[in-house]
Amino acid sequence: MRLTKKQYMGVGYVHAFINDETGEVKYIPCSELDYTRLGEKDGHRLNPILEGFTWHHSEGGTISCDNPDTVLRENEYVDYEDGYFAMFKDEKGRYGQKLSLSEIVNNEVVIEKYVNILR
Amino acid sequence: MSISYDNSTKANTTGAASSLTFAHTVSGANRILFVDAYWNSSRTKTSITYNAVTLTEVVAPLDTGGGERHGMDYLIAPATGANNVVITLSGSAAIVGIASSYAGADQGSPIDTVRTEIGLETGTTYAETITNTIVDNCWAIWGTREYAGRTITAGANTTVRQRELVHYGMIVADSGAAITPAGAYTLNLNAGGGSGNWYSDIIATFKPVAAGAAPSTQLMMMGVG
Repeated sequence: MRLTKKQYMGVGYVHAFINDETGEVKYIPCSELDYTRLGEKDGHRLNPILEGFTWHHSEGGTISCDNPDTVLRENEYVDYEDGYFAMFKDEKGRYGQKLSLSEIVNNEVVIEKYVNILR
Repeated sequence: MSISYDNSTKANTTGAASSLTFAHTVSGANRILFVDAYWNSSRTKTSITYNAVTLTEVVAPLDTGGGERHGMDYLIAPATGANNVVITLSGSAAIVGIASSYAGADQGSPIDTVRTEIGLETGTTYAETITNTIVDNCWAIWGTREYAGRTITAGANTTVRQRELVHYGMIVADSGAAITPAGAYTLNLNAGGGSGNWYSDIIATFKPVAAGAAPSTQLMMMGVG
């Protein structure tokens, strides 16, 4: 399975909403201040609202990329710190791995333990 | 007053984030809130808060051996109503949080006993025994993980409150009833559709409020008045 490289855009903050009818999850980028206020005393009064959707959660300090909603998705990766950050499932089902420069070659993960899972 | 289950809520980051915020609603008297959290890196936990009040660790986060961390924190007398849980780490990771609240809990020193375990176990059934509950009529809360994506149902002495399937397959279950007499108690889960991959346990028993103790909500009103 090949990964798609995206452009790393820095640290991000997003609100996640669920469509009341379809269950679709929609992400809306927000500011750091908007995010941190949610965690203050009575911060729930500032929980965001989006018509037709229910706010589910918000995320701070995300690995933001050049997708329209800034969210790095499964089978995508970005340059990150001194290597890469990739989104894929491993044998334990988890997402989001920090990988070294030698662990993605030609948009493919080449770590031995992952090769058989991803192909 | 005996312990009763109040509510449970789960949330997860989409990918990697250093913080996750979600709402959880609490009600009742003599309340206690537990947050079971899992993240997939060696990041350290900065804090878990509810309505800006920091929770206390049931145990320090477990290093589960595969680069993941599993922790459980609690808060006595959390504010009632809908408030936000915030899990904050030292850096980015995929975070899952499950908040569970109960009424009728001891408001002084609520944790009775704690047991932790890490390591893979397989099978269509999974049982964990806590051998040394001390106080009569405690409840047990169990944070664990089944990462093969099986359908999980409760076995004997157990009620499943949440099952997460996005990242780790976290499960939060509890005894669903008072443990009496005190002593050994076994919690049980079943996996449907094949053998489960069970991994990482934090089990805590927590005490009921002492007979005759004033509900925490009344104490708060007396303090204000």
